[in-house]
Amino acid sequence: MYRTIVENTISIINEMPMPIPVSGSLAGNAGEYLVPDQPMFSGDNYHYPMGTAYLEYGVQGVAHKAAASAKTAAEPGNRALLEGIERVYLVIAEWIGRYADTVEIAAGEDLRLTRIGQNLRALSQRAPIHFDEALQLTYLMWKIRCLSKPGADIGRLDVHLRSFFEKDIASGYTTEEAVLDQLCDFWELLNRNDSGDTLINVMVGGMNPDGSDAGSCLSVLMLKATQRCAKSEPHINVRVHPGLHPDIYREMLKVQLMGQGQATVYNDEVIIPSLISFGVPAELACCYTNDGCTEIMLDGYSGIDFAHVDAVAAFELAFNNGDWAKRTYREPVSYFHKDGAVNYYTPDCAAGFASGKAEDCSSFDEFYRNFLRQYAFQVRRNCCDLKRMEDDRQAGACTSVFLNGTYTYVLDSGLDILRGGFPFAAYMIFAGSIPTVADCLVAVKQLVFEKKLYTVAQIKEAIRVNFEGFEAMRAQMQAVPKFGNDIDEVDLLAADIAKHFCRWLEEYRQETGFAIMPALLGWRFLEEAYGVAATPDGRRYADPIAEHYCATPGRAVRGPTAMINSIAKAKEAIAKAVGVCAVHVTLPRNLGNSDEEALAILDSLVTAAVSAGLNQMNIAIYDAELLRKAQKDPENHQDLIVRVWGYSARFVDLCKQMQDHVISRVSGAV
Amino acid sequence: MTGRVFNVQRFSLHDGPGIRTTVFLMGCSLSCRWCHNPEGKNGKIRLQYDKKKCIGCGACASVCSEGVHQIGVTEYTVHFSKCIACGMCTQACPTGALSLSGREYTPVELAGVAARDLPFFRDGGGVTFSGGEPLLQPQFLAETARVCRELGVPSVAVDTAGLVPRSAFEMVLPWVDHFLFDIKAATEQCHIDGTGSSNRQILENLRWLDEQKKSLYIRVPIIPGVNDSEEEIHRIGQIARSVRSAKEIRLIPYHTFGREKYVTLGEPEPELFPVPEEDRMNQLRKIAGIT
Repeated sequence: MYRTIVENTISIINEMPMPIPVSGSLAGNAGEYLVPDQPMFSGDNYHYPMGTAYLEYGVQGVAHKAAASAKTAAEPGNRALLEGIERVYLVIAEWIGRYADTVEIAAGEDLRLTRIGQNLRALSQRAPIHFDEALQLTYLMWKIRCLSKPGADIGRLDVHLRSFFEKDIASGYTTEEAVLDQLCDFWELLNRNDSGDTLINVMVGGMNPDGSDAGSCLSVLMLKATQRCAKSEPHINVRVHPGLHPDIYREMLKVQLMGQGQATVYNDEVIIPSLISFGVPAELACCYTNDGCTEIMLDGYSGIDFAHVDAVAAFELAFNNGDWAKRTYREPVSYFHKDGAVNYYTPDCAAGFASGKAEDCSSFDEFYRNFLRQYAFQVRRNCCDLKRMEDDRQAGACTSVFLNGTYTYVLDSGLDILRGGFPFAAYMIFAGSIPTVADCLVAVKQLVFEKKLYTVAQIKEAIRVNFEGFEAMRAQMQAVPKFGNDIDEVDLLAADIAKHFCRWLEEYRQETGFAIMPALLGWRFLEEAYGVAATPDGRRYADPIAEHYCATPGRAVRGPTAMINSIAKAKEAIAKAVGVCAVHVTLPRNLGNSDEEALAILDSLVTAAVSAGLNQMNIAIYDAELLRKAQKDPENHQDLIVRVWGYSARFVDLCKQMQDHVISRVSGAV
Repeated sequence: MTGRVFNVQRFSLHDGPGIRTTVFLMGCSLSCRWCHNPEGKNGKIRLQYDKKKCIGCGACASVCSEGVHQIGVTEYTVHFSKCIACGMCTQACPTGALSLSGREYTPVELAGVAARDLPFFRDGGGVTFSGGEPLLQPQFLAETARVCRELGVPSVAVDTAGLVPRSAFEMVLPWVDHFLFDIKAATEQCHIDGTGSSNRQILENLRWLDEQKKSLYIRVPIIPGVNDSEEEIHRIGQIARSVRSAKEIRLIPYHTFGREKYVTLGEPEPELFPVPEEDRMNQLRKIAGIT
């Protein structure tokens, strides 16, 4: 099974370019060499980080360890994998040796290149000892992981490299300033690979199983590197907990103050207990990191696969008894990028399940039950799809030999990570845009069932023509309370939907034994907004729908504190939303008269949100006027970074529709 | 006891330290030519009409016994002078085009609303009472502030223009940590020209307040052509800098944000002034001796 993969891997690695670094302290190509669609990567996905066995054993050491295990492996499949790892890693070691030759020849009297050459030479022969060697090896291995795609998750880099850093600092081998420079070199290389939806995430901080801080001075330096580079990559994130060192926390706030939608906050005090109650052993739960996007997985101990079920699409199906709305309009849209393919998007729910005729409902309760039945059906479809994926994997899927070789337990067992190698299988379903559905439900409740101003049929007709000629109805819909303003009527409805969603996944697990983590987030909000029709909350076709579990952009008119209060009312669901409940908060530019005042404001917001039980929060700071200027004059705004969904990107790289969506987040901007 | 309030604004970042909820009380003792809160000018609750939200459905006319709402074939007219602010039409209005300019609260009710963001009131944040002139409702303000403290609000501020009896300050003093104090002019004539009132009592109150060991945030609105002469600004700066408990002195540029509100209240549009450029503001800060 692995023979083709091994041969393919070896030939590609032997062809890898060995550019002489013109600046910086690290060698390695940056985006010049991509080989998509290779058999060696066919089973990989790039949302989760590699293991770090190469840091512990070195590249040759990985090969030797695999060879030793292969001798005792009983299963032929396991033995084949281990023998494959041995061959591939010996080739990697040789390639690093050749790269050392190349750099040494080019170095001459150049001390910088000489040092790089020495590091490469050492890494071709042994495990890294020093921080700069470990960082160099991390980049080279990450580049091999990314040979078919220009990015992959990096994970808890401060934890991976901490021992090297502390040993070097203690011995005087290096200084913090030198390490900061090296990290900046690393960050620059990442940015040269790609920018935007790259999956290049780094997590810092976090709690150890004994409650102590896993963060370190290295975490601080990584956050400083982000401030110094001021580019989109890597997307940096921080796990906060009561014992987090204040310096890490403060540098996190300073990164947030840059306004680029980083660093995203993950709340250990909610997420770790959620993982444990989901069945993850405590020592593994403490290793969580975010994957290439927003959702979480276990760094080095799980991969991740997911499905997306948008609530607005399910609502449209419920409103039309299992069919899509009849309408006179439809537009194509790009996924997010200005140069991306433009397609007519079909929502990811499936038509066909008759959940009841909305016209026949005699009460709002009945109407709401129909929606829940439809949404439950759509969720279950996706549960079954994920289970089928897992069953297929067990029947014979395989991950690349290279990636398998980065995990120590694979080197011991020979089990492919997808077939028993990973200690934990992370499957997840994302429930996106629930708050927009809550807005729709409250509008129907008030206008149809309470005030009896309109019938369902009249609303359907208005939706059919995108409210043209129905401006009065639309104005009435817009006046109904909206999620994100700390209004119980709508917030509690959203919380109830979220609670049901989590319960359905738990029921599926009890029924089938297949565990799927719930997550209150969604990354297809732009496409969904162009996929679904206009909605009874007064939203016209293509106007934004809610991203993640946040207010529909432009509707949280009482400010971020009210929005956080609205979200926190779903505390019960958030505690079960292992995957997480993603929250975007967009703030205006003028947060205070000084940076100190602005940092204090950010501190208050983050602390209150964490205390309220939110498990994740992203803060971006925008000036709507500046964004509009950048739309008109992209050439002079190349460095403007904004948050998109699970990543930050250059604003000018986004398609017009996504740019409009980002602008609309600044309350009242559209 | 009840008080009249025309707005509660959360996540206020410029009305004192930290994250604050600002409560705007109705009624004012000054008539500033540049006022941007016309709904707070007097203590009367009035009808407001937002034409942009109106769909001309006529629901208002059908519930109004005073003939305020006149629905024509092509035009809808609001006769503000006939309105008794009963609120019937605002309840009937399906789009929120009609609303009342304020509402009555008991202190407990208002403190509950103001304290909804309690978890965010860290690093000095809290509740600010503004207006209008909040000290025109001193008993209500004192009781609301007291309940706020009882609910755990860590800091209470009062944003005042200072033209109130000393007793009003004395009444609220035990519950207030910060005063945001406006100095609109230094010379008496300039103050009368701009606000219709002398500033003698205001400056006396400012000096008295300076003795009370509360932190003071001095705020100076810059209204071109009214109080921005070099001489006036220099004297304002002298007064402001002489306040020993001043924690901050800020010159705030005139803006036109409140213009549309006049229209919604059926009032003529206000006098307009040029908006000062940032360079001019920096120049005035120098003249005032404020860095």
